[in-house]
Amino acid sequence: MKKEFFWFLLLGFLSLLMFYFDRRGWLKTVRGWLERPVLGIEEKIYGFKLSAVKELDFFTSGQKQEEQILKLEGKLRQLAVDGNQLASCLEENERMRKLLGAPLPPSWKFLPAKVVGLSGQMRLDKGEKDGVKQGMMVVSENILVGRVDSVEAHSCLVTLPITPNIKIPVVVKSDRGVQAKGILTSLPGQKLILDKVLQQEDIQSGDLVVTSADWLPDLVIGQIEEVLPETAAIYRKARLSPLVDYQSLSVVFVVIKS
Amino acid sequence: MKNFLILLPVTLVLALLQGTFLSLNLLLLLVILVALVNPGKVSAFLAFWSGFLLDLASGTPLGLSSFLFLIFSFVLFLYRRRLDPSRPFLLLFFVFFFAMFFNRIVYHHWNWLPGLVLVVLVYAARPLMKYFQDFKGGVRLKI
Repeated sequence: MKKEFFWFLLLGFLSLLMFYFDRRGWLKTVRGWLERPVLGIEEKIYGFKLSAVKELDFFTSGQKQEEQILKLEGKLRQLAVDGNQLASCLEENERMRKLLGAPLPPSWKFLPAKVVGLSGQMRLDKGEKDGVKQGMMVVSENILVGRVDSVEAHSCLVTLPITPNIKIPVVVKSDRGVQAKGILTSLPGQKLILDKVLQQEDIQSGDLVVTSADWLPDLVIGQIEEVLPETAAIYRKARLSPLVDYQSLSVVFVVIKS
Repeated sequence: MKNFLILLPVTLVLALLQGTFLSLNLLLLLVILVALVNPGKVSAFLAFWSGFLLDLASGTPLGLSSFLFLIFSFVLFLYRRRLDPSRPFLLLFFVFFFAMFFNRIVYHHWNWLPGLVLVVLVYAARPLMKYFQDFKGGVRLKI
């Protein structure tokens, strides 16, 4: 019994010591040296996983063809009904497209990084030695992917907007201009929720949600899918759909200078 | 110690899978199963090694997962006599609590779903654990 206690105590102490040294940055060289082969293998595994998911999609799509045809027929009928509103819709679409395709400021510098893992947080193959620092933004085109949470010598961990309990200050924009300010949170199951929007603010489904000045501004996060009906609450809530599929990203960009 | 050496490649593969895309904590499951089948020195070493690999593969601070796995192993070691067949709920409660606690400490949020899946897996693995315990010829596993 005493012998077992001794081993648990010794290894526990060793773990704590390792944790302390790692947090102080004294293990950076050793960790960087150990991480290199691990990152190489993980990059291959993640690439294999992405291609396997694509292959599976290809096979399962055959079974869904009939459903898709029915859905498309329904959509065609809807389009015919909405034909007379086409002109105004086109104009609105044009504005939305401009907003979505808004060029990022030329002063921003980007560092391309490969995604090597996505379980809880996203792991990239760029770290301190590549100039990545804690708090930097990660984007894909002009869509926010996340913020760098911790940095190692050759890798970093990124917190995504779909991470549960995250709080991102955001602004709601539409072709009518800036509509509201709010906080973006996430619920388990990768659901994005826009919260803390004042009742008098005018938010509608289809409006875009972008980062506010507290983060790097004007990075698109998602689009309002549905404004949740809660008339008695002080704040309004809305459900968002993300504009990027975080699970299928293989290359992203770290904003290293702004 | 021979058992520990056999488990080394398994832990490596699981750590790599968890570091890339697997959100289910299979390493925790392995640590729990080994702590039940073979409590003591082997389970302590496996907990330490698995945690070290997981931290390396997932980018979390080195030593964090090792420490948590060691605590879980130690708790199971202390309660090994109370985990009898008539009361499997104590074991399942521990598994669920460990998974939730691990998620809270490492990923900073409570996530009950992986814990629930682990509970189901541990429940399903009980006959297997019993078999290994009988095979070993030691004290019968009390689950």
